[in-house]
Amino acid sequence: MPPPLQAHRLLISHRRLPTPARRRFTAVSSVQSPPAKTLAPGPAASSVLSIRESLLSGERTAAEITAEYLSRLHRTEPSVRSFIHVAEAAAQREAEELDRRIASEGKDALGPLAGVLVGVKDNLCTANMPSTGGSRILEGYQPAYDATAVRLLREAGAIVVGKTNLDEFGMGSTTEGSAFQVTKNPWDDSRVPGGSSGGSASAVSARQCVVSLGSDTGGSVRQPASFCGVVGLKPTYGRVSRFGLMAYASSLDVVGCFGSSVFDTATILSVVSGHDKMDSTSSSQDVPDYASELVSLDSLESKPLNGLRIGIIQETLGEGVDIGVASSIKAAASHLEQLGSVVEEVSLPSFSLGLPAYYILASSEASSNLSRYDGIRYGRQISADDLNELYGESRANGLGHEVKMRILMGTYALSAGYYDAYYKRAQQVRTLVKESFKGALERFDILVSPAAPSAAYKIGEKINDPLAMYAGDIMTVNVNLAGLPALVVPCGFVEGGPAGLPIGLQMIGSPFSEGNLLRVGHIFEQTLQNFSFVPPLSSER
Amino acid sequence: IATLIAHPFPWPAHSSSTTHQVPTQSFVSRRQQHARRRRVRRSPAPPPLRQATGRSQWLLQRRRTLSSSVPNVTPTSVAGALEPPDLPRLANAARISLSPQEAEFAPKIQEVVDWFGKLQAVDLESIEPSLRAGTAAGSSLREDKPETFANWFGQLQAVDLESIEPSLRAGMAAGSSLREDKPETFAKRDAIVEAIPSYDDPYIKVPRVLNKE
Repeated sequence: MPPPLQAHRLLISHRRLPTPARRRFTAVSSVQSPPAKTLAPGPAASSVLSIRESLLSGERTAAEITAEYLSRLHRTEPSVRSFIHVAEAAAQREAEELDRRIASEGKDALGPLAGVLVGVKDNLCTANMPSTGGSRILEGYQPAYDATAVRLLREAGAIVVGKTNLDEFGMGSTTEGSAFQVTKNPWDDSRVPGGSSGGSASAVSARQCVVSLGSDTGGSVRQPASFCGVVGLKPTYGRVSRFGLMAYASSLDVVGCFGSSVFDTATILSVVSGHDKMDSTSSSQDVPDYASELVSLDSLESKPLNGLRIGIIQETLGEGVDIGVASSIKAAASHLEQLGSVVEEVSLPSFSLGLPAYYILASSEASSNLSRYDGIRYGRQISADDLNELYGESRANGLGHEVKMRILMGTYALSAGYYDAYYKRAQQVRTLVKESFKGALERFDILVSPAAPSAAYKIGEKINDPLAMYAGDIMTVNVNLAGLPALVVPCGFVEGGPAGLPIGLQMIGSPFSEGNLLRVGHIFEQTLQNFSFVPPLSSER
Repeated sequence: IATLIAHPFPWPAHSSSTTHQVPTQSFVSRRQQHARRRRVRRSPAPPPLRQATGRSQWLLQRRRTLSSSVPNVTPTSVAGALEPPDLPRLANAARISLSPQEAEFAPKIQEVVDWFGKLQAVDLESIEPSLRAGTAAGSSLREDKPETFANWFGQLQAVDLESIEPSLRAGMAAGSSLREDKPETFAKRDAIVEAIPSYDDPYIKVPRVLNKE
């Protein structure tokens, strides 16, 4: 058993609670925290494993587990509003069906995700549920097929409980850009959950479902994971099939996942990864059983990360980054050092160029990908006298403001004669960013940075600080340009809200090194003491 | 200007109030304008552009595009310089009808692009030393001149990318992963057909393509 880490020394911005009874951590020590209800602080346990054990031992049925989650979902939804669509009847049916099969076949009936409730971001197609992409132009649309990632989850026994809210077509970083509703952060209902996968992050955070799927084009899984205090993984580009993911920027999009623990996230990554003939950009690289490589705390050596070289990216800790965030990240770095790794600073100067390159590429590809929403084959159609008017009116009526602006910008960048100046140069910068990461990842095994420059901000707050906007994007978009995998693990809190606001640590690795990232993330998570990343509202029974 | 264009995009991404302006009112009025314009079109001269709404400009552009295969060129082009965004033309290309309020974004986008031109000149002087890290012995502070980050496109012009290969994508998939060029039948054809708004078996109904006078 490794010597207990002295958490109170690690985090200068927080103070340890005076009472000996282990309580849920609060950032403001003068506040009388309510007595800990059900969950003592401590490293996250795997919900997937505990569900599996309950089903195997017969202690609980799938129907009971589903009912428990659904009741919590209904209790918290009026406040959080993670879901655009909840498939309650279907979920109950599937749970009952699973119970019947367990009764007749025994534990052979249990796939790796049997009885696990998942939320699916609404830009992933689900055959028996509406899939809107967060947009009015697809209101009421029911796809004819499941996205590959969804199909694989179902084949593993998972129960899709509903479709989660998002910024329209993935464009945005607060989930306020949804055409349907605003999702609230479970830690503070006056704040955003992040975006664009805000609903997926908040659903897992509020324990409305066990795990969820999201998508990440420029940080859309990592930033909400940081804001909501959950684990978020952006896989390597090509690790998970994009078939059935409504395309935003095809060279940047990936399907990502959220879990309340690294173990759960690793489990669902194994299930959804792999080559898919319907996605020619998907990789044929073998998919390891990521969760099996995660060892328990008891079998860790005293310096489990001995020999690991970690680089903190300088450009992500500069101006515009909250002091609380910077100190949380530095504290996390020193925690990693205590675990045996060597941490140094590294500079990636091409990072700032990556930002305009990202916006050009994303807008340009979006302008092309979203041309399919024309009111003809699916979605909302506005009748008109001629075809061009039908297109113009249907799109004007159905697409939101942010989406329209990005389409127009992309149309501009791709106009005849502009390709060399914009799109081609952006691709050249992508090469520079890739090479810059490659160089750094030869010197270091893992690069770390914050996932966002601040904790969750208030809903409707207009961010007028240009440095903060720049600082935020710079933490995430370059990873998409280079196609690298990145894992965000909650690492601390800053003040705000009733129980503090969580902060996530982003860990970036070389292509297809998700296994290594998960291993390090798991050890970090399991050795992080005195924190509980369960928001107040979901621990009430 | 500073607060407006300080944001990476020329529009605030986080404004919840303006995210969804569903132009139902202007939709109705657009139809009326359209009906009115059908009569106006018979007149010899098109209405002056500066008076026209975004939509009427869009219609005029469309007429020109239909009759000639050459894309429209903004009359005020400077030789060698990139032309500023022509919002009506972009809206036409993207097949999005812009409401009158949305057409007003043209000057805002114009400001960003104008501004990018100025910063381009500035950056040619000050970016070079910082890109070549380590030349200035001692102080590595940049000039004490406020900068904002709106000129995304401009920053790219300043960089020497002569010999860099463009990357189509991250390039993770080793080797060719194209599947066999063999058509497969999709099982749920009915569900696809059900999603079509105007279906008249076996046709997908659309309004007429060309609006002949």
